[in-house]
Amino acid sequence: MKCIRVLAALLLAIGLSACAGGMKYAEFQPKMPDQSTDVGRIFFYRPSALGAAVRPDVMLNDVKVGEAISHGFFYIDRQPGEYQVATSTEVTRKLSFVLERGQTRYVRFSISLGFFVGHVYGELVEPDVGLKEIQGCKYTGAP
Amino acid sequence: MGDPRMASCRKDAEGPGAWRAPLLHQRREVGDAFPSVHLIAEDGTTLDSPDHAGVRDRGASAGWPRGMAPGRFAPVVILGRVPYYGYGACRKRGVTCRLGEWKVDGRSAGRIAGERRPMVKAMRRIGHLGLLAAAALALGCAFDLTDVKYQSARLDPAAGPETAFIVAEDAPIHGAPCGYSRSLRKGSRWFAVGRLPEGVVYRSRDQTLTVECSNVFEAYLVVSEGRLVGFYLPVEKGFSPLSEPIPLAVSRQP
Repeated sequence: MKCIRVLAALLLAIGLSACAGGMKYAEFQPKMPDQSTDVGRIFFYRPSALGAAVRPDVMLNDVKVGEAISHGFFYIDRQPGEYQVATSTEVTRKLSFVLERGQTRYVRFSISLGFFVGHVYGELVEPDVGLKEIQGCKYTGAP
Repeated sequence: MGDPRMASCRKDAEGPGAWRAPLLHQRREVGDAFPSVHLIAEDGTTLDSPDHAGVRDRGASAGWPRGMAPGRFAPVVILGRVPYYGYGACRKRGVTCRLGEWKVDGRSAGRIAGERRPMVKAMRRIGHLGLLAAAALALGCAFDLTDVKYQSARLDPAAGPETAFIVAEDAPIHGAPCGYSRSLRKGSRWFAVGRLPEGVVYRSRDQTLTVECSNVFEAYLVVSEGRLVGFYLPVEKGFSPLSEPIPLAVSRQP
């Protein structure tokens, strides 16, 4: 019984430490620099705590731009163009989309079952959905 | 103190080839013929103790207690030992160990079912787990095996006279790749961005549309004669057809 309690506490501690710590979106938003009209902005966020210990790198066109951390978000500004977001655990999941000038896109990360490790994958969501879900997330910063 | 037979069972059950199945528990006169115990296997083979049956009293391992004078009565507990033989071992011995009948002094004392050795049980469990793991692995591999099927397509920027439309009512899309459901929102505006041999390509700023299997691709609509015939993937530059074209209820925009 004691062992179970210790194990549960340990798992809880690991789970909590794996979640994002930082300013919430509402606090951070006023500090965000205005988006230039020449570029587009991409928000990456992971609203769920499920599989928090799994936090893969987020690669944008093969360049690391951050980590998919539970309850965390970050953003980047990029030139208009075609982009591919990839997250790798035991498999690589990809999301491709077009970014236009002045456009804001929201990429939400979720986790699905895997064999050894869960698969973290990105989805392109509607701006209104993204803006609503990101409110509970904390800024994890640029890499 | 509980039942001494049970106590013996518990004590002996800790070791390999545990003693089980109380067959006899009575007082007998020391010096009388000691009870004979046999296990008659399923195939009729008679197996003698001590291999498959054990004789015990309280304290002595087998036989009459030492130092006990003939003529006195002594408690005798006989417990049948369930053989821990796997099928292979039984076959090697030429007997069936799955089921047998105990006989004490030639009289039936009950039937018992044989058991496998704990190691054999554990190995079988590991085997079952292995099978499960293999199945899960196969399933896991399947995650990477499914992908949106598309053919490369060249978008001609000249869309022609059809420039835009508004979706008149919510339009569920059936037959999208990998069965993921999608729906075109009522009131969403779609603008022509080019043409494929399969139809005119439209994109929207009101609705984010993707198609997905293992990977997710942003998608534009490909419409021909008022029917949605598939999707254009702008990054992959490919056309992914629908299994069944879907009629669209739209209102035209200039």
